[in-house]
Amino acid sequence: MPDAASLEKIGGVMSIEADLERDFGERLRDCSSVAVRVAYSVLRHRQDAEDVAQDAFTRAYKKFAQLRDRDRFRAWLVRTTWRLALDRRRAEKRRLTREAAAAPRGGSGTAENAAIAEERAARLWAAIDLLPEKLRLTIVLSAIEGYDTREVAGLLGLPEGTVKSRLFLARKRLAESLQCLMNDTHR
Amino acid sequence: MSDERHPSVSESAAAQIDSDLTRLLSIAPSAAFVPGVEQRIREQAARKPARFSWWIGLAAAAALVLAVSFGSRAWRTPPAPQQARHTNRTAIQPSVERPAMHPMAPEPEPRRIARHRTPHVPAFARGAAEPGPAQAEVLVSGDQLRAIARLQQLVAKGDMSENNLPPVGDGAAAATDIRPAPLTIAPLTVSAVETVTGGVAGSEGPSQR
Repeated sequence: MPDAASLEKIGGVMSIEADLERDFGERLRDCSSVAVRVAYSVLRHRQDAEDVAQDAFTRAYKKFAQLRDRDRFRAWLVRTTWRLALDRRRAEKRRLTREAAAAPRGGSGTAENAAIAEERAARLWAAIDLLPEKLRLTIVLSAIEGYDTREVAGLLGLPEGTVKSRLFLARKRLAESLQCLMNDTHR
Repeated sequence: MSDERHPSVSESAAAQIDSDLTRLLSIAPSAAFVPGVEQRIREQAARKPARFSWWIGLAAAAALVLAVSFGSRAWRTPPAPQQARHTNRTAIQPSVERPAMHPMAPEPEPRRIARHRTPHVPAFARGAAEPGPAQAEVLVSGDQLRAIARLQQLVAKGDMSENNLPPVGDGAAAATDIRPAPLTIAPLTVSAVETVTGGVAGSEGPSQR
């Protein structure tokens, strides 16, 4: 029969585990959107993006004792999700080409507006694919609603100046690519 | 900062790009996302004990291998005894004591085996498996071996020289010649042969012819 000290020790361990479970639940609710969006920026498919994001959260659970800090958890999750999405994309390259056309439409409006929006989205995705990986991740994170330069720097573990220069370079290359793609379309 | 090759990005273009990208990425996780994560974590926790099972299997296999190796050593049968070969050799040379065809060659020490002891076998009587010096087997009789041994002793003492060696072709040489005696077959006498009629041949009177 365990004594009071053992019971207290067991209870202490269980309370720590309960705290960990509770904290992880909070992280899961706070960071699920950013994980799914980061994965979606690579895979362009909702189901695959959620699958990769769930995998990243499962891995984060294993290491949650080291990732209990809020900022640290978010940064680790973004990097891991990005890496897993790239791996999945390399493995399923053919299917992604087919599914890229089924990207969600933004905004509402007439059919003509929807077609224009769809065409613009396809060109933008194609231009993003031409970016180097570092620039691609930086501009994707900055485009996710609510993230400013300081927060993107924290997620990537980079100085703010580096993030600003990467954003400038990424936008410049995107504009050039979009212009080229637009000229190819109108020929 | 702009040049002819790389025109700068206007603020409006940059804003347009950001707007379009934000719109493309404005998706929200489905209602099944959080339960899906919790389900995966539960499945992972259920699989966790299996992670160490391979250690247990490896340890069991290693213990089995050790047990088999030690057990085989304990029950290992002794090697084919050299006594059988020695017995065969002695059957050919029954009167061999400790002769040596090559007296200058040092005899190796007898093998000492913890399980059984083999008797000393002369170098020339050992089989081909022995790693001794390469010697041609010569089968000689005991008398000749004793004579050779005696000769070696005399030479070692210096008592043997050409002066006191028996000349070749002498009676001694003749004594060494082996001349088999001619075969003699005694003639058979008719009287010793019984006739068919039962009487003794030759007991009859003068020939009736």
